[in-house]
Amino acid sequence: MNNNFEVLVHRHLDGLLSEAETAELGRRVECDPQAARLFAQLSMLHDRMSHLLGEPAPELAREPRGRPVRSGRGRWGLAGLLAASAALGALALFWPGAGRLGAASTLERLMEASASLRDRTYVITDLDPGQPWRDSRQPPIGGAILHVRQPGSFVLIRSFPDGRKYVTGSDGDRNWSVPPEGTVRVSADPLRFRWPLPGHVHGIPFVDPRSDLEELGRAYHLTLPASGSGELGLLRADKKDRPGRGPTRVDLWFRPQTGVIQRMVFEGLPRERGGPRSVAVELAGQKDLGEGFFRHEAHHGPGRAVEEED
Amino acid sequence: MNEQTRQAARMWALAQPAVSAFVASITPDFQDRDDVLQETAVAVLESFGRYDPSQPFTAWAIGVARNQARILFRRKGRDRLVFGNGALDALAVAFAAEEQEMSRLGYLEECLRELDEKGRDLCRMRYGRDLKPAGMAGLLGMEANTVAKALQRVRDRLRDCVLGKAANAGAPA
Repeated sequence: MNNNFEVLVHRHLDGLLSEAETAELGRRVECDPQAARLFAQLSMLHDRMSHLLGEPAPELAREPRGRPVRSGRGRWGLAGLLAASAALGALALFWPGAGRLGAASTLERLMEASASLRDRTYVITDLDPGQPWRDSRQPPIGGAILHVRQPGSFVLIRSFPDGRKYVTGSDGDRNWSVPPEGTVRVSADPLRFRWPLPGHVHGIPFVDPRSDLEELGRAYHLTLPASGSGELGLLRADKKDRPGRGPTRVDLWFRPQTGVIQRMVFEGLPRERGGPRSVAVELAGQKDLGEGFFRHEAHHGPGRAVEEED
Repeated sequence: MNEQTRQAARMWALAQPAVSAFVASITPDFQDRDDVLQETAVAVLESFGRYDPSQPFTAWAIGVARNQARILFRRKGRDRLVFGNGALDALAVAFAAEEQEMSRLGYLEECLRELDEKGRDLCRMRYGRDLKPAGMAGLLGMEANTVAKALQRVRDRLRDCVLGKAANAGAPA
């Protein structure tokens, strides 16, 4: 491979090519598969370096009128999805690695990283699909989409098998329920309509990650099993008091470079209302959902009857 | 549906590093890459039903990313992606074929630690702060071209280091 081609790729990755040089680079990768593969290899190195060295996720600044804005590289994708928030990523070079830290230190780090997150979107999967869902008026939790904003706002979208949606949520002050048809109900009771959230009836809701992780540290034995898969580290929490509330085990899979939790698996869920014994909650995105998203009005038409319960 | 979502999430987690690199190579900065990746992740989950399992998932996800990049560029008023369709097709194939490169890059963190202080400073500025050589030049009191060449040397060193460690560990070169 011609050294000039490598120089061209490096300069492209640094944004230094003229239009004519870019056209030349495009022509080379189009005509020469080896050139395209070298381009891919160098780009992978370039991309990985930004994930390793990326700035900590910037704090959300607020404009005077309260509209949230992000600065710098705040809108990470999946979880990254992507090593999404790149939280604390700049320390990664000199950080000895999550695997060598104690479980408690790792939990601290996950809490720090969670503090930098704002809007998150999760996909919930049922890991126990053989279990029947007892209440036919409620859709199953498997396949649900959960949007969360700190502190305390959420929108949970569950689907019936026929595609109808049942949406519940909270704007942080008032909880609400939007069934597929009929009256929309709104309540100031902080626990109203929250029960479908995985872990909620078990004392480990994750709408407020910091306090939920603190609860894990108190009520669970923490370990760092060596079975982290590939790029994800694993922090395992086993319940100290078996007969008490809560899932018997919580596995938190996280990006070691960022501390961002990518996947949570709740096992041994109590089943008072039916449903699965185990669910997985996967981070699908971190996107600013806008100011009105967590209010019930955003999830139904203007003609719906709304009943305030208090 | 439920099993499908689970499968999509798993396959995305495996493909995401290669997709991220592809997007980084066709977007001008890491902020744009992050925006495109975010939209891609959602689009992959939403359109997974259209994925043909007889085809490689990574190549399909790269196709989704390409569309999302095009949408982002349009929204930002740019008329087209940096490369034409023929080059993008070739790159989609190349990135999907180079997935093993991602496992070699597991050594990158170690190699970064082995860099000298000057090399690490350059990397921090370029990748930690997303500065381009022109922006770095002002801070370093150097010419942009000199910075670009220094960056290239650092990346070459890192690549040699990664390949060397992978070879020592018995990974295919």
